[in-house]
Amino acid sequence: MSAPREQMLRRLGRQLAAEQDAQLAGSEELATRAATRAVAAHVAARSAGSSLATAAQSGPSRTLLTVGALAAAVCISALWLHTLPLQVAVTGGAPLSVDQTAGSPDREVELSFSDRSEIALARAARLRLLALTRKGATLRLEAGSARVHITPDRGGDFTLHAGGFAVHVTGTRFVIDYQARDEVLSVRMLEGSVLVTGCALTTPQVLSVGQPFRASCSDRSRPQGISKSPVEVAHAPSLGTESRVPPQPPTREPDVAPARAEHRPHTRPVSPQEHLEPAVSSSAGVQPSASKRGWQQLARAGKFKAAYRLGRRAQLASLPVDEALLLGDAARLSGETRAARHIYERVRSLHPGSDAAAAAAFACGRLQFDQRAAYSDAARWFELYLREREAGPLAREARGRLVEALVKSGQHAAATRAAQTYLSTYPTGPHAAFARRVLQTE
Amino acid sequence: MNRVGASAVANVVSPASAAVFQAPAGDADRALVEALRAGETRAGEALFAAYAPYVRKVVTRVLGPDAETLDLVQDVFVIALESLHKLQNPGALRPWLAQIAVFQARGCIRRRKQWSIVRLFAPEKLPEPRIAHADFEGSEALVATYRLLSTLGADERIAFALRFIEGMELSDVAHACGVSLATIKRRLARAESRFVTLARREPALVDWIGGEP
Repeated sequence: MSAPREQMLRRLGRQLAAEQDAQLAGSEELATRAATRAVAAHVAARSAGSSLATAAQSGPSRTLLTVGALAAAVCISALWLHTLPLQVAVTGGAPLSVDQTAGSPDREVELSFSDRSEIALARAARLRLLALTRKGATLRLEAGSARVHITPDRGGDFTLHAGGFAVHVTGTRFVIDYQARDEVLSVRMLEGSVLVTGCALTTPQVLSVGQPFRASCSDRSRPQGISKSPVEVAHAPSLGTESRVPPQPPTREPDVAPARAEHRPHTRPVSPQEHLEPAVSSSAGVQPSASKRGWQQLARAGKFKAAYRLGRRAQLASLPVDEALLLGDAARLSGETRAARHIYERVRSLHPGSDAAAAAAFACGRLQFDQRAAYSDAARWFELYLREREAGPLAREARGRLVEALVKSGQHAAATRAAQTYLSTYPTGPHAAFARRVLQTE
Repeated sequence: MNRVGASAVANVVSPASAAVFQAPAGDADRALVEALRAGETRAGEALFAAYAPYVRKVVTRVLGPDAETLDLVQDVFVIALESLHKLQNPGALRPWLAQIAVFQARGCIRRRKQWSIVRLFAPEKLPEPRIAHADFEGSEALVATYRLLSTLGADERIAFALRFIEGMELSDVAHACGVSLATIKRRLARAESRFVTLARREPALVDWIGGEP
């Protein structure tokens, strides 16, 4: 390795180490507390063994034997707790045991796992718990539809069987529907990706956002696979329109249009290659290359993964702000959460105080909530949006999401205040029922 | 109680605090090991208090922000306490713990890669790597670095992290990885070459590494 290169890497390494050390210092106490109990119990158990041996040599000692027995029990308990499987409860708090089936013919039923994963069963859906492990569960969707949210970044390992299919999940959100009579499975990804196997699938199918899936075990005469009908693709969620109500066709965010006007005209150096491309209508007044023209079209068509793959190297400072947001959406909806966060933060720093900056704050809140389960951070981002755009186009959604985030992060007093504010402003909004439940439990 | 055990116990500040060996050095480590082997309960807590931050740092250097870090730190100390009889040089407690930490982190990396192969995910279709603890945020450079490191083999990744991020000397990196100096140099050369090639395409790292050659 050359000396200059080594020096360069060492400089980078020192910077990264300093940043990591600052983060570790902030959470040292928690880490120490969490691990000390188990280690101390283990050490105590070993000491108890020594104490017992000493007592046997020197004569009976009731106190030492009692301490030793207690220490051993603590050690065994600590190790046992570490290996316990997840726990799951249905709406109302009743635990669900293995081989039991959850569901109701006349209402929705929610399953809550101890790792904060959740499954919401539609009316008349039935879900059977087959197994629970430390990191996940095996379930069978016997009939109906369920919205699944598996907490990401926790090493989750869930499998949902539906007929002859199996959906393997590590951390994501999706809607699954199984029609038992026709043996038809449908999967619509909301975030992340899953792997589907079974029936006539000759190879496992990886499903990501923008790739709706519909297949049947009963029809084995033709290959099964991913359905890419234009209608289903057009229903892929976009920024600001996704909510807990049935998805609407994607629309352009109204706050982005003013941002587009704010930053027109936008100029940047045009490469010789771009001069050779056919002229393309663009709000920026420049002529992007074919590949850059392509990623925007792909993103607007709901092909987020392909769009992000093409557009990921675009210079954010050179993009019109609405396209920068679009690229952030493409990253987020294709599961590239880190890249999405980076893009949104850059939008905020490049266009401070703009509608787009506020929209980016809202998007960061969604990222933290939906894909990282970082609810405190999500709440801060939603509050930031509301500070910047109290009456903005995303205000209703931000207020509703804020209530959810505050509840999930345990900030009950703040959640109550947020729920009251939401109901006074949006008494019939999508989060109204949730806000009322929050007030009823306080 | 022998003289060494007595001195180790006498260094305990108070029952409420096990923060004893603030600047671990050979003598203090030897005393601590002796106290552990003698079965002193407070010595176990002192070991943890003295070295848990360091072990956690080593694991974090290798894995980056990770939800399993605390579990791995716990495993390191359980293994250390169980295998204390194998420690031949009590004065080298710190590098010994680093070696156990590296081994545990390596096992974690390999388990994840094996699982991803079993799942038949193509690399480009993998879900977002599980690198974020819920409260961890980092600069783009930090995030990009660990994203690139996750594409390296486990051995190269570990060597790179210990050498350039933790700043270990080559001999210490070799010891932590349990290999010869020549082997660690080869691993570092491969890691550096691959990392620099990838980093030149990363907006967050190009200022450090330099653009496309």
